[in-house]
Amino acid sequence: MIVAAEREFSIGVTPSLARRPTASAAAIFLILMIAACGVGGLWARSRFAATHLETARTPPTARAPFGTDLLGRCLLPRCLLGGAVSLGVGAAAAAFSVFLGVVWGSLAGMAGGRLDAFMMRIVDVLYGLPYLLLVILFKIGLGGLLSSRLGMSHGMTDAVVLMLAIGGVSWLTMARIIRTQVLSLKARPFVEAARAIGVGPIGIWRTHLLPNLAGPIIAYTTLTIPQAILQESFLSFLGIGIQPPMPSWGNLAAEGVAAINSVQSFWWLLAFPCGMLSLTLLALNLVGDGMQAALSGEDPA
Amino acid sequence: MSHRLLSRLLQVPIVLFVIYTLTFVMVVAVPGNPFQREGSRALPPLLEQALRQRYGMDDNWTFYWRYLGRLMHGDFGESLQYENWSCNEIIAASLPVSAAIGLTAVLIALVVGVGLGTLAALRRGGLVDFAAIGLAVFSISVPAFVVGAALLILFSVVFPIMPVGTWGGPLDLLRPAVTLSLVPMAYILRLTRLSMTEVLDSDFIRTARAKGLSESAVIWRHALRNALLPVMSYLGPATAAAMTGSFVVERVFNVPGLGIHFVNGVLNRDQMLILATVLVYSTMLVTLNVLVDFVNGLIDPRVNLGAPA
Amino acid sequence: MSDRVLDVSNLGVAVRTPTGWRAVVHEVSFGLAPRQTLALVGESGSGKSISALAIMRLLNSRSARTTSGTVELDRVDLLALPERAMTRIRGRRVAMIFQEPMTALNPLMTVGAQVAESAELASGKSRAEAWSEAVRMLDRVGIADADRRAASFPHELSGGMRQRVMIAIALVARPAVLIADEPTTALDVTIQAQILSLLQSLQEETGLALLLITHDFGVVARMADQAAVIYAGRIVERGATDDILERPLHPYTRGLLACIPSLERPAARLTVIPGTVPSAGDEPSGCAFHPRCELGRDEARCRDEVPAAGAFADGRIVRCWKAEA
Repeated sequence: MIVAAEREFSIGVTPSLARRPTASAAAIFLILMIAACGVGGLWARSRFAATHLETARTPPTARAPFGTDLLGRCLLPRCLLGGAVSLGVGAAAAAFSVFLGVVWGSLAGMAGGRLDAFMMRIVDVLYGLPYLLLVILFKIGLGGLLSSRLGMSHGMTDAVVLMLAIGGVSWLTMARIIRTQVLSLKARPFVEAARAIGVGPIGIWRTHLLPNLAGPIIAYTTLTIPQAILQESFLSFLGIGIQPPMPSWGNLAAEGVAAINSVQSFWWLLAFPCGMLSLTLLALNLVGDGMQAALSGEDPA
Repeated sequence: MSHRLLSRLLQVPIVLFVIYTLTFVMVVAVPGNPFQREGSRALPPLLEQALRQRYGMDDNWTFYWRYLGRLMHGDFGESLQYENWSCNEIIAASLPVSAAIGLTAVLIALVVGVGLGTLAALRRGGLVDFAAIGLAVFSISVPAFVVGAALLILFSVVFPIMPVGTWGGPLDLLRPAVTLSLVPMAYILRLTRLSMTEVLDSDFIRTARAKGLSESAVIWRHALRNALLPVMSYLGPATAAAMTGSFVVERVFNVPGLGIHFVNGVLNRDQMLILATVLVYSTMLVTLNVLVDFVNGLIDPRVNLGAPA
Repeated sequence: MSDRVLDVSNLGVAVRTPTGWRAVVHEVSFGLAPRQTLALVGESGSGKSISALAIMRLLNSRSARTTSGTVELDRVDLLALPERAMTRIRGRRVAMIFQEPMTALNPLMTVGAQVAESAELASGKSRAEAWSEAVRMLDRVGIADADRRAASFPHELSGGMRQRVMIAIALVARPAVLIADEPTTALDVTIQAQILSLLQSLQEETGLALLLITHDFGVVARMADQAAVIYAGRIVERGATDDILERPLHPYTRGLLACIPSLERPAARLTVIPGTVPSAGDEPSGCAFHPRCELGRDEARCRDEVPAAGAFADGRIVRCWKAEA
């Protein structure tokens, strides 16, 4: 049974994703972007903060392919490092949120009854609140609790707190999906059989439920990652997330927006970070949609 | 029918109380003294003393209950950041702006989302369908500040018909509202397309056609109302999404709305202002969700409002 | 022949499959006179429902289409009509009721409104007149307290009640032909009997021609003057119901009848037709039944040639190389 489920999954998704040209192109673009930001981010660590006031605000040239910012910092390393930060925080936050959602949804589904009703009521209430508001509250609360205790650099603390805040809020949909799945799986004969021969709840969850949950988890995770990256960029854009001088796509975009005026155009300040961010999110969503459709087309609402 | 509505309504204050408590914990955990900020706009010591006294801010427990007591009287306290401004005045000045933008955005999202979603479902696999799906993915992917910046440049720099960063007439409402509408529009579009597709394949639509109704009557009288049920339940989250975007959009377009005050409150550790704005947002949303529930019960006879939730 | 209200000849339907369009209904022909009942009998997947939808022109154009034939109603070929004209005939001259009374009604409209809508379309009556007409019709189909029940929503009614509502929707427009697609399959046995006698009495009253689609020979025996047995999209035997039940000529018909448990010979073992119904578009060559047929399994002719329709003395039409009178 388990083997069958896993095989079905691994055979089912990959070829049908390959048959979707848009999703495949998006996946290739993503790999390139991740590689560029990863390698470029390492390379940029030593140069993203170097200021050259005499060459401030120069449009893209051969020496600074993305132009320079208001302080004369070359924009290319900043965009790459910013990308690494955004992608890293987003991926980590998504992983955290998936973990929370799977645990919460499984607990509620396995427990059933009043505990289930209570846990899902909490999800309902949180669902009704604006996402970003909660993330921001979490961020300031956690920031207060953790900043002095983690003993890490400022930039690192920012990133960790941000990751926890975003992940701590975006697990709700995952919890709902997992709970529904657990409820329906629980009623299946093979689970009842396992229970009848005395397998405990944890054993049932690990050997019988988890393999069958893998599909929905993966499908929904691919849609959680762009959401998490989007949240990070919103917060950094507002000045609540990653703090300068550490770049992220969000705070780079904020600098670009702040530079908009009707006299002189600094288009590169806006175009490069916004373009990289938007294209990455677009690609992630396309891959996620393709994955979702490949996995029996559950609706992503 | 009123039984369930009543119990949902009774839950509102409980939910709000929980939100207040959670927010309070978060806000009090903010490091640093809200009165000691770098920069020149710190409050004079005397005023700080008076505020601390009045709200019992030296002791968190006293502060918690005293502020709650004021809330009961509809008093949101005083901003720690803007001297001489009470939070009530700030809210009164900014809420209408935010609400106008938010409502316009949800309205645009609803009309465009339902319209395009229906067209896409009717022409499945066609050009309109393709374009609609593309628009939805675009709207969900591209961050609001990117769209906002693009609109800002387009209408203020390329075609300078609106000035940058000013807030004036009702026309200024349009750009932020359009920007804000994109995400909920995309979800409504997808939802409508999906449910319309399902409804059009359903048996009762076949019955309606077998009656001899014209295709447009089938869609208007039978399909649309059924297809809109899931969209109706999404209106609560849609409004929440519009609000979430509003923090960013208000910043891009320099809109003097509630979102800006919330963000500034956070940046300036203005505890009172954070509490006030969070509670205003939460009250609106929680009430709205109950309202949507209620309206759903009116539209769908199968939703039995007499049964416990 | 001249008194026929519905005349289907040579009807062919194809459905879309992942590998292209496949024919699933071939050369279906039959006629129907007023007050007459013709049963179209077959297993699920035999193409009987899709033929009915083709007659109503309710096939989903994305997934199915008619490929040949004519459907003459009052001597007008429905398949050649523009959609607008067909819309005016649908419901008014030829109506249809479906198998699933649970899902065939709009959940958001009162049943009265759904019947009234039909009445309004058919006669152009005012809303109020249509409503009272609807209440009268609901009363006629046996819904007690129709006045109050008309304001109910479908989910508040039982399956049998809903099927009565469906009948009211179909018959309030006073059509000449009613197509009933498995109208009692989803219902309890006692309710089945009630619905069938309701259809019979309404037929006597209005002179309706009834095309009854079913897989149940019990229903055929009770209701139908004429029966047509369909296998793999082809009518294999057609004739008077009594003749067919008494002396089936096609081996498939014989097999089907032998499958029915009988009270008269309770101890007899039920027979089973070996093999399964071929899936749509995947029919064997020649006679589609030949691999399952005890007479034709090893016959070259049955394997290679589609049997021609042979006419027999009692007016029976049989498509079988081996059939003998």
